[in-house]
Amino acid sequence: MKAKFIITLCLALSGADSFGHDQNVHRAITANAEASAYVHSSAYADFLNTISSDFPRLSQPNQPRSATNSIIKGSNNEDFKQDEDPIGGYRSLNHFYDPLDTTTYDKGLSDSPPDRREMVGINSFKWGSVSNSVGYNFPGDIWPLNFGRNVNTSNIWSWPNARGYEWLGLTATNQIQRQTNLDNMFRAVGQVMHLLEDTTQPQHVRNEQHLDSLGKIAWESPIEDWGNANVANLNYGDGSMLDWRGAGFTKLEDFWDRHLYNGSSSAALNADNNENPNGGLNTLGLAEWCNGNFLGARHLYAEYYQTNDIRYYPYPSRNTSTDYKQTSVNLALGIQPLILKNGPQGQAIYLNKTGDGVTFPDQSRFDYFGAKFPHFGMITINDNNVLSNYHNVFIPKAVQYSAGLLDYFFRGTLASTIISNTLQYTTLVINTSGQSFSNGTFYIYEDDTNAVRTLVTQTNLSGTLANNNGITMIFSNATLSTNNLVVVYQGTIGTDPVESGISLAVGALNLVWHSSFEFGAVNSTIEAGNHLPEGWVVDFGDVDLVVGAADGTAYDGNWFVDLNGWVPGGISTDVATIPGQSYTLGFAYARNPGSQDEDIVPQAQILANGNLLGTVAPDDMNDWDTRADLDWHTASYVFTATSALTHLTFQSFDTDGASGVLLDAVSLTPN
Amino acid sequence: MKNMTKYSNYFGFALALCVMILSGCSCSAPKPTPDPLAGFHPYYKILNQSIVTDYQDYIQKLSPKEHNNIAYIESFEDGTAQHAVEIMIELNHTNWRHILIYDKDNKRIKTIKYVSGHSAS
Repeated sequence: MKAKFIITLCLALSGADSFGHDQNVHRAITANAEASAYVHSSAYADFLNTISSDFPRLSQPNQPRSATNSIIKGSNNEDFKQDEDPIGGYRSLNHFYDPLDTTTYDKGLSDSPPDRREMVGINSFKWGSVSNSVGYNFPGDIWPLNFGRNVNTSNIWSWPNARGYEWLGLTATNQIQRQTNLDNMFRAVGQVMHLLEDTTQPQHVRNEQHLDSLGKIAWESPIEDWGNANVANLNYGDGSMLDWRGAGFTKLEDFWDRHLYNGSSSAALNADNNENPNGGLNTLGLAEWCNGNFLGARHLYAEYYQTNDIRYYPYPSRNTSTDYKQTSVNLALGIQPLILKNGPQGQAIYLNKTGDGVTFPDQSRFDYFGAKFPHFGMITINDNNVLSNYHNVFIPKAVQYSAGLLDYFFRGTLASTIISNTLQYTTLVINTSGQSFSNGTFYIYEDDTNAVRTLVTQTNLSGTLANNNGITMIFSNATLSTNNLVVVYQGTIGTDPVESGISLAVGALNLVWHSSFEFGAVNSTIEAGNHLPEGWVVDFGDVDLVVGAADGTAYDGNWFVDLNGWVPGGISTDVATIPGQSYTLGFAYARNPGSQDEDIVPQAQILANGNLLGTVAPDDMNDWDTRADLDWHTASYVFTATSALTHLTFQSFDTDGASGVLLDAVSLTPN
Repeated sequence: MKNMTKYSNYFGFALALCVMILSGCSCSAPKPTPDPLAGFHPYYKILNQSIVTDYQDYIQKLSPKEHNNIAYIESFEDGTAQHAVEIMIELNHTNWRHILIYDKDNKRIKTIKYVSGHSAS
């Protein structure tokens, strides 16, 4: 008996053992976020396209190292303890962010058993946003054993560290150096994604310590346990990505905290809820959103605590955020089946979240005493219905924001074109990032046939380069051997203080601009608003992205596009051009053989900056068997560019049904 | 005195248990020294099909629990054309590394499975 007491006492006083979402849940959130970003973020897809000769996006059995593998690895490894990661130490002590904390604890974990205030770790944003971020020196509890001790730690997997790896991944001479650094960059991005994802675990934004390695003894996290047990069946959302630009985000911190919600009222929670899921200017940072909408396991409704209690948070409020007032006087209103793992097991009384932000059923359940004495309203979240609904709401949000974070990291994009003459190349490099460049330098590198990358030229940016504006770089073509060029910008993009001077943008630089829709994932129908590989966007209707590798039917590479998905569609892209320069737009096209069954001759229009260049209408009696049988044609049109970016459009025209013009090998060549 | 000794033993046991739990100790294979991947570096090229077949077969023979908790897989080379495949498995916050080492003929010559550390999510 005494031993049990001593053990319990030791454990209760043993300092830190924090848990957020379980690692397998993080891996799943991150994998889904990466997939969403690949669909919705042309910047991310373009980056992958540019580095594809060094690093693939997806793992294959014979090539397990890939971008997705490294991102997921990072998301997994952010939870390492000191025996696995001596530099980072007990990393999860730095996985908390309390948006309402204005004390010297600086929003980090400061809840030590038994709910006494003691600094334990730095906040997750600071941990993830400072280069080699130094952790808090937590001496541990219970001298001389120092349980939870975490000293002399630092984070080499932060956002600025990721930028450092990225720079070397893009510019290092040797391919193995570039690959190693790209590997590290993706891992670091995955570790930051983990930190953001943890802000959807309510305990991590309500300064609520939990001690899961003690099991059922004390302070186990029911949230983590439930997610862990149900990882295969969680709702990971609809595949959407946070529109951080539309939401007015301008810096990394905004993903955590926009300082719109300060607990003084629920107005910011309501404003956010009225705009989501698509995002608007009232969109909250994820930590704010989660803090005000969810309960922790012990840090419950505001009404239960004095305002100076470590467990007190103004929202959710039992009286204004839920239907407690109605339910407490008529318990029948809250009665629902109590669902356990093996099915319904009787009934219980629940409180629904009915206001102050997100609304959803079963935010909490009356415990035994709550049901006996409803005017006290004692509740718990440790309930299958409650935790199921929590995860249904916050896991999709984690995926959505995490995908947006990937888009934000890779937001630096360039469009480039190069015009040859006998002595020199004149290159136009255009900022297409949607944010201004400043205080930076442009670099052009060339890869030789052994993938050795050398600097060709560099140009300092004078002043600011606004979005869709470009600079000219001129260099001798006598120094080139392969014309396999890449252009890199390093400097400031936008106004994010975390990234001042270290933001990066990258793009391929080709003598002839060429796109054949490569690097698709699976045959798929892409709807309006989404993008295709190599910078194309679906403008209306939908189109099919088709892999012809199996039977060799693509005109060029493995992929092509059918301009009719289920319905007629149109695609477009912006290509850097020199105003006044004459160009030839070339492409390959064929008839979708299925149109013969529909008795339709498909047509497509080709436009440059909205001006019609021509129409094609293939009417062959073809079939899918081989490339020859598909009977590809080529066409070209000459036009003179009138702007630094020319908007090229291919659109199905007067063609109903699901079989349109097939398109491949689009090129733009200066004349 | 007898009671004090008894309680002292209890206390020692309790503290030892606390240390074990909180430091993540478990009765598992110790971390080998030197690191079995010492001298290896990340390998980004295509693995020989014999290696692929072998490591995938190894994965198929893992227990369902291990199989479902593979965190990631990575490939390595040591500069003398020897390759290795690491399979990281995370089980209940314990990190298990399975290292498969192949000779120059792509035959597996060593299999090492150990706990490399712990995690707290």
